[in-house]
Amino acid sequence: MKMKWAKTFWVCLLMTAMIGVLSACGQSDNTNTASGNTGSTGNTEQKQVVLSFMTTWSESDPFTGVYYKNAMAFEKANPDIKLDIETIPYNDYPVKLNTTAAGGNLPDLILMIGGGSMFEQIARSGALMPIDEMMGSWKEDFLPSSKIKEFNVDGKQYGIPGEVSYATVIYYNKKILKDAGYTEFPATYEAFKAMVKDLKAKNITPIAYGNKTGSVLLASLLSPLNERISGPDLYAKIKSGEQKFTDPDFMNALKDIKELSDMGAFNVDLNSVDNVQATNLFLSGNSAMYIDGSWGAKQISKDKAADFEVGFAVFPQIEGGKGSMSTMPGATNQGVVLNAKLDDAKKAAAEKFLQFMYSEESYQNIIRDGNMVPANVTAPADIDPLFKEMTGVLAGVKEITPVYDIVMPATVVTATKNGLQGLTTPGGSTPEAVAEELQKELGQ
Amino acid sequence: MQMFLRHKWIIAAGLIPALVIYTMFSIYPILSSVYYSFFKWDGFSPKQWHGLQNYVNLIGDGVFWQSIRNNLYFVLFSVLGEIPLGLYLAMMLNGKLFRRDGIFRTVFFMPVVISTIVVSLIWNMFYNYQFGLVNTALRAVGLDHWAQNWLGNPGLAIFVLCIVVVWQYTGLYMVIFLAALQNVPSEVLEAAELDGAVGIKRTWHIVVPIIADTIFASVVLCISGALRAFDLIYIMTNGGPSHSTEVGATYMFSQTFSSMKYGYGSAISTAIIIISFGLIIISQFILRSLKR
Repeated sequence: MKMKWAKTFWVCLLMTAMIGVLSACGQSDNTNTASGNTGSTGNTEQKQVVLSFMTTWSESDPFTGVYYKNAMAFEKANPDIKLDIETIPYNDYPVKLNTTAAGGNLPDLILMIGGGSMFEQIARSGALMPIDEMMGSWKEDFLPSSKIKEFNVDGKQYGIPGEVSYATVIYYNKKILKDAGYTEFPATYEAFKAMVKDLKAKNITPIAYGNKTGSVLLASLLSPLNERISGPDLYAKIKSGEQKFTDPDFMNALKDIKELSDMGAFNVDLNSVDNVQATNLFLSGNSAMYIDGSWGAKQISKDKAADFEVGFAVFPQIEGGKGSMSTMPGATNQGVVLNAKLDDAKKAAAEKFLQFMYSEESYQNIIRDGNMVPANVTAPADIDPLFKEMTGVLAGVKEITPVYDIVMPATVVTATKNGLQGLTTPGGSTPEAVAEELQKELGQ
Repeated sequence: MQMFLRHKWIIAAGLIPALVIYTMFSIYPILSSVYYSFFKWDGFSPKQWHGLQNYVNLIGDGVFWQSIRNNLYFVLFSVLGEIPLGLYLAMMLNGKLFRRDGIFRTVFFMPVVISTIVVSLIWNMFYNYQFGLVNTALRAVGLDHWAQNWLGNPGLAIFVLCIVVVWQYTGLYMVIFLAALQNVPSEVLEAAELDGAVGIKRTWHIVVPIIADTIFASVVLCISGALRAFDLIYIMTNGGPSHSTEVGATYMFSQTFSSMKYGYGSAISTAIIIISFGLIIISQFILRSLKR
């Protein structure tokens, strides 16, 4: 009997000791962080404001490095404000944004890669703070309201875009086209198709695409075809029910894509490789053209060999179509929006951040890095010559029409991506089946 | 020890933390997912009661059934590929020839340890149309017309992915079987040998029945593993081209998070749970009747 009590005693003692150790660990952890905080605030005179910021920006990324550097410059100029940056890879960002917003866990500052249905949904749910009262810092002649309207929902401004991008630029290998007998890029779609056929007959892959995620064909082929065939307002008409996906206007664009695919215009593995791989295909001389948005120029400029001559072209005119080459599908990107729940101190800090990130100087940095911007600023002298050439070619574009994924609901966008992959896969779907599927998705 | 057995409450108290965590992170999400499956919900706007409509849509959804079919291919390839191959390798390594050589064990087990992301990227390069090892090898021996766009061919892509899965997980079952084989008493084997049971006869009639329990457990592991397949496909093909390599989990993911149909996505995951349960029960039933 005595033995038993002794055992119980020792077991209890052991358990208490274990619990003690565990809780002590937790406690010491707490005191550590607490002292850490007081230490850092003690260094600065005022209390430091920490803004959590979810973004895709990172220093080494060719596309967003300039924004990251601008943000770092802001931190340096404002020692009383600290950015707590969480960087998410570009392809995973929409899912991350969507789930944190749905869970009500948005950080203080949130990057919106572009406008569109997801952004509008989050804004309408009341999770974001309108910045109308801050807009006084940006004059109309510096930042025209027509250029920032994609970040405006129901008359309230939520953010300011950092750059403008065109969805379709045709990059071509000057040497390959010259050797095949083309000194000028064709200006009509018929001539373009004839050239594609001719290149194919000469055993050259005409166009390299990297459509693994499905978004490239959507933005850079379907969008311009729709515009050239039906003019700028097709998507709005389809959304309002005035037109259908199954009507000839939209169907013709799908048929054109199918026709291009059937004549072998694309690299065989277009749906299994990504943008970077497709760019490499083009830069290694394995394809005559590469089609992507205006953002593709950066990767090309960075990776191309010194003697590689790249040409730029606008998507050609379709005879009898309602669109024109002075119009281009495009979007405004890289706007930072604010969480609706910011307190006054954080709100003031966030306002400072926006004023800095979308100032003349920041915009000039963005241009210097090879982007077009929504603001009227004078271009710096030391910009990339390749980028300068591209903007020269694109100078004729006077009007921007909204891209597909900004106008259409997410369900339709996903279905379209899959439909376009089906169209460009041997033995895949027919244009009729794809159009019907889309109409069904829109109706739901 | 005796004290623990006499005071059952100590055992119960010890289980509570694990039980609480399990309920919070496993049971509760599953139940809430079932609850959401009765709504039409995009994650932001208020939920709308949708009754069984999501399930009705699901039954009529061709892509869902295709993804389940692809899941079944995965199950078939895993059970019929990984288990026999794993057993074969384990027997080879347990034989006199390789017994002392740890290097083969390491080599065959390596793919299990490598992160799936790395495996996916490596095999993506193997299968690349222009520069991939597979096509380069085929072209080198003059079989140009066999060179394929492996991951972009809708009829082929899912089987091409199955090969990667078999490659990745065979090592795991090999190690499990190796451990079981090493526990087979040598007296039994010697007795069998004296009675004239050698080679394949000995394997089939003596060794396999002795490690049968391990094999059955591995089959269950294999099935549940194949039904869970997600990461490999997500990285290698993202379910494409146009849904041809979609499995249940990737379809659920794209419907929930890309199309923002949280209700429908929840219905898909509930259906996956039911189908998985069904498969495990059927496999248990078959294995039990085999045992007799």
